[in-house]
Amino acid sequence: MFEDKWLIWKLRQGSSDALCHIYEKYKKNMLALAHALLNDKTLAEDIVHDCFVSFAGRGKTLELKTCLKSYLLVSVANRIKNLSRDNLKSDVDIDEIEIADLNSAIPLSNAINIELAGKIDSAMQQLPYDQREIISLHLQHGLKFREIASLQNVSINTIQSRYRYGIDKLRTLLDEKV
Amino acid sequence: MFNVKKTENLIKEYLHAKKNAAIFSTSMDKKILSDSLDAYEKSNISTKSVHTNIYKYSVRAAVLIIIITGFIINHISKNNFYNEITFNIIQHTFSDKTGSVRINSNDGEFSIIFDNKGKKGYVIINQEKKYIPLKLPNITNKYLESFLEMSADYFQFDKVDNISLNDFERISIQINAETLMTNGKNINNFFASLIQYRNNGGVFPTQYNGSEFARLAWHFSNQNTPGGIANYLTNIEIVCP
Repeated sequence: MFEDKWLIWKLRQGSSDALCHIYEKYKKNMLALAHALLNDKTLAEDIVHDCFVSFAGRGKTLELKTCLKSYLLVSVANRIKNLSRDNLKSDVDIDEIEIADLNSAIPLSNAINIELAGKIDSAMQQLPYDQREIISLHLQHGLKFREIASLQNVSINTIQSRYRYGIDKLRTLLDEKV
Repeated sequence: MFNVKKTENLIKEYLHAKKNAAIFSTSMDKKILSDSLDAYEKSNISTKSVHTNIYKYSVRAAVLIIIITGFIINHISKNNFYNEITFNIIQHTFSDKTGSVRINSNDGEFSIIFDNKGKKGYVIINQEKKYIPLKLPNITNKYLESFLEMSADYFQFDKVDNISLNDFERISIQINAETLMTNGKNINNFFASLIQYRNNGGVFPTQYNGSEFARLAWHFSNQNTPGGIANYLTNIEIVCP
């Protein structure tokens, strides 16, 4: 937290090193969120690119109300939301889910085998975007509901409802598949 | 059967696994950083440019304000005061150790104070000090010298030549400025009237105590003196060191 404040201060003073440091620190989180929401690595990278360039472009004028991590992640989520619906893969074909990624890189625990991972992926993609977004921000990156609500200008009750409906739907979907 | 807790844990583990697996392609990684640095540099330049513009416009605004203020003050001083006040005593007659001359109206609303050190005056209107660069006319201290010469009789000085204004700590001449401005045109008339009074053989009464110079004022204001001085003068005070 203090490190982030220091980095932002340095950024405002014109330090490009601070910008590099921020990128190295949060690039993985941003990509992971974009990937979880889009399920498309190329598109996820593009989103992170646009998001971070936009962040850098604000440079010295940057004013943060929340922590840097929340700000960057919600920026990614908002940018994805703003994408044209046509560009999003709303109807996910299970065959297109990147099982290859899972096979090669995800060190799954014993509880989750490849088959289960595919089913979770499928279930996640069937959730409405708003619910998927909240679940990813909360469970993957540990953002608090209050933070998300504040950054998205939505009431905390709405955020909690989306989360609860999302989890319920996942339960149903997983019960059917597992 | 999945309950809420189990579902949450499962999803959490799944998402964390995806997070750990999130790796940029090398080319994209470099591109993002490079483009971001470019955007950051541009933003810095534009910010500097904004600051430069703000500075530039501030300076212009300040100069404009100074010019307008100067114009207004000049306008006020010319129209309201400069033409009316032709006082040049201080500049040549008072030394650094002397004080100031005041012109007060009876109700104290109008007061002009000349600073002999700075050779400039300020006007007090309704107890508010307003500094005005007064361009004083040519030296007229001969009037004051004449005045003192007249006063020598009153003070019983041996010789007029021995009198120096430096001998006085302060000379305060209080007149009804409002009336003076209306009828007397300028203060030179006041001294001219004094000279005229002397030349006409006017003699100050000697029965008054010299230290009570205010009585002279009483004399002026109660005698039918030439030039209508009685209409203007309310008090004269000379303070000796």
